[in-house]
Amino acid sequence: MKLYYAPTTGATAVHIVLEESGLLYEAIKVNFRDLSDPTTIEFRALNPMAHLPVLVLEDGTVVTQIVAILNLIAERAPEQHLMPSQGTLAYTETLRWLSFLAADVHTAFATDFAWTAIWDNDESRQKARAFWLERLHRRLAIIDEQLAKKQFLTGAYSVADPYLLVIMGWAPPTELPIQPYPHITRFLDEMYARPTVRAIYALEGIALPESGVSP
Amino acid sequence: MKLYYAIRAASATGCHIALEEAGIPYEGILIDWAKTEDPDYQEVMRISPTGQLPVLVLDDGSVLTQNVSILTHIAELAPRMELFPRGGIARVRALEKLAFIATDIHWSLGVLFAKPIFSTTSEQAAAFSNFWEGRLHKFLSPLDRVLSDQPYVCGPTFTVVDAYAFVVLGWAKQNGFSLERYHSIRTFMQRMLERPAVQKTLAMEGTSVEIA
Repeated sequence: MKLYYAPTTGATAVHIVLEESGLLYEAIKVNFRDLSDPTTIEFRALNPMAHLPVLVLEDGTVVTQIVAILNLIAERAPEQHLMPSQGTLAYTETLRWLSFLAADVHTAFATDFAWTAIWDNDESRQKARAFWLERLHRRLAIIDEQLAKKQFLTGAYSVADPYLLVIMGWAPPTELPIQPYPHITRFLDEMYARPTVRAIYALEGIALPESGVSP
Repeated sequence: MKLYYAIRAASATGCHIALEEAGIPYEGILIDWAKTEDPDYQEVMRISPTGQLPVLVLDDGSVLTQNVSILTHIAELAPRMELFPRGGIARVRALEKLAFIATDIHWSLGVLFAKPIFSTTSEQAAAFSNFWEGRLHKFLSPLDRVLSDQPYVCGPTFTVVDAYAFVVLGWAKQNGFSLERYHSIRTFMQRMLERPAVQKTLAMEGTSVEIA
């Protein structure tokens, strides 16, 4: 399998999960900005929407969308228990959290990035940001509440956890304070301590917080 | 089983259509966001902390949220109807389409509802439309290509993904965004409007989905 990734994107979560799956894979870094780079050209041919992650299977099948890719990897490495078995309520519950991250939390961060692209720093931009950040805070509060009860997002460790880790990495560039969420910060510290996370962050060149994120 | 859905054909209407297509018994409960004193409204706020719909309450009391998990669960409850592939690469492909509708399409069409709130001047409105409509075209073009090769989003037959796609594509009309250049998407929506389960659901909800 081949994974196309760029550091700190959703593809980083897939990268971590591939490393934890024990499956054979090759990770290829894409530089979005350099449109003449052969890897960028190759990647854009595979996915004309130019979205990451992109996973290419051994037979050449191209799979996009993080929810689908994470499901596929979990299913191919059943002994690693990265997701409950399909057909169980636990599976549906994991899918619910994955979808919540992808459809509601990931897009809320992406929407916030968009306002900067749309408007100069004027009243509209501030109004729109305030509206979306309030939404985002409501969603983070739900995650915090869940992590107060469970060690990981769905109880046992699953593919949803590296995804949450990567998404929370977007809080500092968004200037979103995460200190109000003590259970999320506890979770992040535990995730940063995982050898696979440290290895992939080092490989992708993403800095780890030096003294942890918990207050 | 109880499905809570909202007025004006919000995304829960897709789950409502899926339940009708599945032919399984359920109770549909309409939520009007303006009626905050309504006991059903208060129940939704209690069981779905974000106040988001759809919410599906199973017979054992389990609460499901999120279109992706509710739609796949409904398909599993009616295996003979084959509303979502059960395994293999077909399932991965269908999940990919479902996630594409739930994130890229739902998100970029849904944001259009915010335009009047944030655009007080015509320049602001133009900047808003420029950005989001550009993004929408990026997502709608590949969807249109898929639907030019096959009648439904996942292939030759109806799946729960179609019910969801149909409902969010209806938001284009609500927001005055034209789908004129997307011939195959428009044909798909017409095909959906002809399905008895779709007609029955929209009639029950007292709402409509129009082709932009």
